[in-house]
Amino acid sequence: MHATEEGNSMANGEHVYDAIVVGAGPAGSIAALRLAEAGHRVLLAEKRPRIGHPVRCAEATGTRGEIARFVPVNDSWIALSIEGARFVSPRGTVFEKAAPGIGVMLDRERFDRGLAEEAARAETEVRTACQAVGLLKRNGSVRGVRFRENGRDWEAEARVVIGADGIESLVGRWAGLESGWRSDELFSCIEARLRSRRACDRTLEFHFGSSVAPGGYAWAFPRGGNEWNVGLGVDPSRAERVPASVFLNRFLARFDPEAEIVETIAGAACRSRSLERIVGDGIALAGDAAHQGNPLTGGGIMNALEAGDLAGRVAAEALARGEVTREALSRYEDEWKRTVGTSNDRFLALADLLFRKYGDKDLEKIWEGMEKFFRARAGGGKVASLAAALSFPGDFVRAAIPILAGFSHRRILF
Amino acid sequence: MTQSIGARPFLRIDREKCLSCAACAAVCPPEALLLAGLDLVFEEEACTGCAECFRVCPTAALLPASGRFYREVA
Repeated sequence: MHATEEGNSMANGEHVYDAIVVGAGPAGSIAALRLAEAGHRVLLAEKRPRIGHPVRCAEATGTRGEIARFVPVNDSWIALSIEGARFVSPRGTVFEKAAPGIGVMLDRERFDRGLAEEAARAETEVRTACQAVGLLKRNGSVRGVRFRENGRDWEAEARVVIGADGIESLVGRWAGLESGWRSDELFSCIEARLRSRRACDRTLEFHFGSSVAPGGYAWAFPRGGNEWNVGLGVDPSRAERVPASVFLNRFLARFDPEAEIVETIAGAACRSRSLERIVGDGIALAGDAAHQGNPLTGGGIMNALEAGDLAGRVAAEALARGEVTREALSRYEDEWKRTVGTSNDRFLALADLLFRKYGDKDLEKIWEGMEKFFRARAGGGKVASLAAALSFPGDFVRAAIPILAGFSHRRILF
Repeated sequence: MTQSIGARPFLRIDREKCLSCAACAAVCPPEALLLAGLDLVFEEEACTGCAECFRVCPTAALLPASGRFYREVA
């Protein structure tokens, strides 16, 4: 399963595309859609038999309007609109903030299928149960993909390949982009999709603390009716050889011991720095494959849409100009670093404080400070709110201010 | 970089617990753990015994052939 160097039998004309996108998640489908809309011949290959299944996601994301920047939104994709967030400290202190319309809970399976259908409508060829097993290269440049489908290997040629093959991305590694992870660069996540008697109040709930989810947090997200996504992510370097499933069982006992678990899902989420390189000659990475998730929250959908959109547009232009070199694709890399990449690195700095440096006692002080700060702000006292802000630890203020000053709160949550 | 890893195979996959989440594949430096469609595949010959996969597995579905890894198992 490694890159083939030149000399291998290339496609016989039957399997020749302008672009091949590996992975039909949000990043891949949007990239394929942008390329196909620009009139290019696109193959979108998904290794799973069914796009979007099984779900590996807690399903909270940005607003309908934010998604609509990239693709027309189908009502069936939205499970619930979110009206607020509740943060529970290690000792159980609750800090709650109303935030009507701050985002939505997606039906992720329908969402992923819907995005791939949009790409297909734009004349993208979509293949499922089609696994990339290597890259074709010529003179060091990526020129296609070797696939395995029904036990048979076949090759497809393309002028550009987009690796949107998730956290387990191999496309990036085959292309020499050093996109593998260390275990402490991921949240190890597990989630029960369950039915509970707890009333659905359209509020996302987050629980913190070393006994709840070391190096991460636990969540309880309502999906409407009696359905909930209840899960957690831990930093493996903090969990000290206790698997995430043990923490989940404890948390479920606290959330609702009588909940009926419908399904258990798992996954890993980004908590790493931005990658130095996400493009090369004939190759670009997008989404989790490019470590583009939000390292504070582990959320990845909005960033994947943004990355797929940008990668797809830049690749389409490079194809139109006839040169899909690293230089031509670097506009995507540069633009990403300048925008979301920069904010992600700020989120990581804050995550390193909240999840690594601070102990449970420090977190309690942050909760006290939040309470004071928002009470003072609601009271209209500028001096009082400034004084409250100064009661936070200095490093917290330094890490939080660039985020609060430069970006909307939506991007903090998702 | 290959190190001797003693017991072979280095790990077994508990198929009841594995949720095909790919966390292990994401961290496996030599690509010895791969998700083929929905099935986790272990290519023993490639394994260097670094144990990154055990650290990240959310369900303790990877069982080291030599002794225990997890302090508690659900």
